[in-house]
Amino acid sequence: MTQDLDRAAMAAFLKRAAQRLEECRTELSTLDGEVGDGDHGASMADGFSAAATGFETEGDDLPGALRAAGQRFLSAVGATVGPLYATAFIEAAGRSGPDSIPAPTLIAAFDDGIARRGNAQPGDCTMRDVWLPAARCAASGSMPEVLEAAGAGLEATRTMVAAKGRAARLGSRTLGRIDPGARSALVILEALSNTLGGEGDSA
Amino acid sequence: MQRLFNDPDDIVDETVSGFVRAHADHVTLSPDNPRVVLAKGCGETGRVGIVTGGGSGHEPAFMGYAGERMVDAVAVGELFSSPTAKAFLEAIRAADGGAGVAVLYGNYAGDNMNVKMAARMAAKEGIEVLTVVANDDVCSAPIDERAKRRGVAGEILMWKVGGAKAATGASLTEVQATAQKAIDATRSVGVGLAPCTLPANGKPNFDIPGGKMEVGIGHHGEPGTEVADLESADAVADRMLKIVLDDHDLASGDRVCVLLSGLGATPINELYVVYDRVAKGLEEKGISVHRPFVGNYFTSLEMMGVTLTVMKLDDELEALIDAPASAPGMAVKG
Repeated sequence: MTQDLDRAAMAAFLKRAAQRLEECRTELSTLDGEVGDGDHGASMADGFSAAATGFETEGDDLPGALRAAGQRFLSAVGATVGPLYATAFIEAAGRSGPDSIPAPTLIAAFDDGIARRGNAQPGDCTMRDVWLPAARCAASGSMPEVLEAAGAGLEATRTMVAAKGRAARLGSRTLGRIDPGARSALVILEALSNTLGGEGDSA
Repeated sequence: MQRLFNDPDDIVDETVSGFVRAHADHVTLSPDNPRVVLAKGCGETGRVGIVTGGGSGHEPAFMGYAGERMVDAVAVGELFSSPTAKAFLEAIRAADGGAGVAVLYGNYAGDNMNVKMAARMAAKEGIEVLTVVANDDVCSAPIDERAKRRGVAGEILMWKVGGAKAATGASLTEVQATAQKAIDATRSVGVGLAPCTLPANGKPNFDIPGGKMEVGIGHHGEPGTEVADLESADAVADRMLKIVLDDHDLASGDRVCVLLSGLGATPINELYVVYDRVAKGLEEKGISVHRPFVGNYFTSLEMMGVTLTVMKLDDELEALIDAPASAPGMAVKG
């Protein structure tokens, strides 16, 4: 995969992700209600909406706009996802060229930023179980292959006992359930794929 | 769902607005952030500032403990959701009077990350910040993994002690050490009888079947250690006391501070029924209750149930618990 995102493509991606997360608000909150505290849908929808606005209205170049997206995310959302995705955006800003960033670099930056902030390991039943396989696959694979790897990562969270976040207090009760953070990560990757002209946006 | 709200998205803003209007004698809203509540006297020069924060839905926690010789500034999150790092940062800025700020908060993944980010940003501005993470909830992890335990109503006693210590003119490291000692000496347990509902979701996040109770339940309905048949008030009191005492090195002759809180929907009179037995149980063991607090101190929306918090006192903790304090959620006369 060698597709680059310029500022316009990034804006379209963030808008699309915000819109899809808004549509998934109830689904994500219901998933989160089963294993956590039920705030994930609101946090993700509000966070990406704020990030998309920040990206469009601030920053002299692509890295500046990505940084603004991260700052807006951090101001809009607390929870766990506020710091995690804010750090993801800021990591992406650090790796972006002035005018464009390759999609694999963006996905890897998101995974690394989230890993650095949250210290979750693969298998901990978190959003990293989607971001990490996606980042690894993106290094050489196509966007459909990335989505496939991400989808497999999401399904694998059913077999995992949560080790991070509030769901960790449930122990084995998380077995059989997909992780809400992993689900929203897939929604974001689908929006990216869709923006790049590939498939995406499963219902 | 028989609840009172307007637009679910506005609940927290309206809660904070109403709270600040109702308690204007104690608190004001930060001019910089509508999700930061400040005690009168916040930012007093030369005194260590006390900051906390957490999700809404636990009222009077967290903002109800903003007051005189308690917490100086409180970051307010969405329902059951950590405040933003920005809100914590603005609370820290407001509470700083040049002697540094102690952030005393509960052990949840979101709060840990947001406080850490805020502390780093504050440090860049030259504000010295130290933290203490409450982990008093016995059933959330074994004692040898205490760092994994959640923070629950024991936080209130930590704030009381930390605020009183700061008021003595103690340094930031002294305030941190004393608040840490307070939470180390504190154990809590919760029992849930019926679940709670986030209005935006419209149905309970979890289920407690009729006739059952969840022992060791968390403040957001995190599962406990056992779902048992609902028992009498005395049996529940005995069970909670045993969980707390078994985890704690309490012996005859010890003095304790006890906080018994409802989770939101349990009638207050039933809290006294439970407390009656708790007090007798402690008495039988030769443990004296120096100061009890009974009421809705730390709730979980309309969850039904109670939490019991026991802090072992030494002379210093006793004096700091007894020091006068005044906040919407708690008042102690000298």
